[in-house]
Amino acid sequence: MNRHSVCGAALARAVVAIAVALGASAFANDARAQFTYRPPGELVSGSGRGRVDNTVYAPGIRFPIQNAPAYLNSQVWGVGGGSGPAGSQCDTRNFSYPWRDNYCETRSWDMPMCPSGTGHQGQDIRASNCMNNVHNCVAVTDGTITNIGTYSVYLTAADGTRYDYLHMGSVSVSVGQRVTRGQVIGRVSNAFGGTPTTVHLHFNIRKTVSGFGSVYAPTYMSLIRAYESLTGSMPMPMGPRFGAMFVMQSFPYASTTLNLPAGSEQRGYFEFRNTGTETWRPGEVFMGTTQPRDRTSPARGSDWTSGARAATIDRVVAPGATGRFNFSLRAPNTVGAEYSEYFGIVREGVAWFSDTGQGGPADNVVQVRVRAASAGVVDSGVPVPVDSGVRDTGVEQDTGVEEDVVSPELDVFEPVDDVPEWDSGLDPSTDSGRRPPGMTPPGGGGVTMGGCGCVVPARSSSHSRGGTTLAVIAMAVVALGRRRAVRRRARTD
Amino acid sequence: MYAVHRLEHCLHSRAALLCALLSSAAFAAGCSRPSEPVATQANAQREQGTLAADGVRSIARGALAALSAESRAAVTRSPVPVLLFGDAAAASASTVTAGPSWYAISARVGERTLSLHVVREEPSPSGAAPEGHSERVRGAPAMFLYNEGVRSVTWSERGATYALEVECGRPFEDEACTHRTFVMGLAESLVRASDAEPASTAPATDPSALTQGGAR
Repeated sequence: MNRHSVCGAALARAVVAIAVALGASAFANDARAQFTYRPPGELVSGSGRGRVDNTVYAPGIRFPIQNAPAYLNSQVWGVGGGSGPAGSQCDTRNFSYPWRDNYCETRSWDMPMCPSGTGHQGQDIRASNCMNNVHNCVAVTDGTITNIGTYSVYLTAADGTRYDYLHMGSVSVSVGQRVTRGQVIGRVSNAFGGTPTTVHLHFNIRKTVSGFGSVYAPTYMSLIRAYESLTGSMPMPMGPRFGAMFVMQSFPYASTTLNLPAGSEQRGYFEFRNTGTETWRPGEVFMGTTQPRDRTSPARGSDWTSGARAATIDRVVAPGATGRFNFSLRAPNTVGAEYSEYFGIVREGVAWFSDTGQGGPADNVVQVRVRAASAGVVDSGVPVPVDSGVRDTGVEQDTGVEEDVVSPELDVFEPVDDVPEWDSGLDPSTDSGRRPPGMTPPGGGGVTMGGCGCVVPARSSSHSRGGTTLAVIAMAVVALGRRRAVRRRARTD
Repeated sequence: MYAVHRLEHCLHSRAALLCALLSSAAFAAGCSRPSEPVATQANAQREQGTLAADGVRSIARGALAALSAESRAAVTRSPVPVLLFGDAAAASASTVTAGPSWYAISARVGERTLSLHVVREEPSPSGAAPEGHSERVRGAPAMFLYNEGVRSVTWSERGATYALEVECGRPFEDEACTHRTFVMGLAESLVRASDAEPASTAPATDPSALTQGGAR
């Protein structure tokens, strides 16, 4: 081979490499341009009831197939599947957007996270086409290969989250091997023991989910975020970084004063659900005083972390999970005196949850009132009438929320674990964003997605709304009168 | 070292093994000395307990000895209490890995792949069993799952969440994957690595004997 032919071959290889790179780039651009997906929980019609869950259970992972495009959809209910339209698994309809969730798709397999209690427990992913043992699967994160089965590869991350790749072919890793994010670990195939399945990757996230233990968690939103990152797609709007939704509290609502003996303390809690994208950690996320913020509270109990911080969160709270702030409130030393304290949630040194762009609660929403009562009135919470505007009945009847009165037992001195809880009536397993009964914040705004609305200063909301309405009508009448006067003046001019 | 275990191999469970050991000891004592005084009976019970504990330690030592040096090092590094496969074949096929908050075992035994995935548990303030944990394994609420041919059972024990799985080469034919009995028996047969330590230096009840620096 002479020098010219060597150069020619090198040039040809370079051209091919550039062409491949351009092709891959074009694929990515194409994938980005077209990428759409149906919402989580929306399964193929007739394939069961999905789980509506926007939680990104594995934030920041890489997409498990090396190259775009790839397609998330059902194997069984897809074209050529056992319950899908007749045809070939290679049908172009199986390789098109929009993506579709198939977690909880009908199966007889037990799964408490599925609405029916049973269902498919991962996500089926097709590569760009139906070719077997061609498309590379890659590590979604740095980690260790902890198990390789007949058709599976398990990758465990430092935090213990396990990523399962099923129906794998040409496995190129071994148990105990450390891998880095993006490293090839095998190929998409139809391996399934002795009975081949369609060519696809079944992807699981196995992790501990609060309330469920170690389960195969929903993967759909994590994969959407990963694919958006892979293709450079603009992510659809998602929740704020910091957000909290009220779940329950042991202290009475602000509409009811907590009557305590002068100078004494009562321990209680507020419980919130993490509706942001950041995990809350003890020592980082606190319940602090507001109105104004960081004010040293006269109602601070002996267990507060500082004069302006009632408590830190009691556990690590991942997005979608719940946690509590446990602390004591102290009554004034003088009988009849009252403290009114507002609280907000803060990621220390980073942001208040009430900051613009975050998910709340607003600074003027979470409130507790403590009064130093004489011995005769301690433990005698005042029932609040239904029509007071404090706890209206704008909620479905099946929520299990008391509608009539605030229980007088709320002022009883009891250990935290035993005190009655003020249930928001929200199903913590859903992302409905419904507000608890009567929980519109003062002024009727300020709390949007995931906003807390756990307390309302007594009798403020309905009255202030009524006052606002009257004011608007009055202004409209005045404006109309002025306009007519101007017209009359114009005609006379 | 594996003599006791091989004799009891068909029992599949540590609890069964304990029962068997106790039963055999009781049988021997009962036949030879049917009317012993109470004090002697108490001594016999202590001996039976010792015999059972010795059996468990023997299995645990065997399971630990069957591991490679790397796997034994992973056992030592584990931040959570380590359970090992008590079954001889599974023990000798085990590869143990460990991370900052977890450890795992993988073992290929014939056409079956056994996997144990253990993660440090976040404390539950309520103490209530997680949803779906309606059965019991190793004395704890447990949940059985089935997913893509893989049988698994999960439970909590000594501050960690354990997920034990079996994957079969013929997932729709092998009873280990078509029924839960196998995975349940496998869970019961797991032995504590801490039990492999000599009783004089590490009591069988000490979960941290071999899990330095992290066992809770």
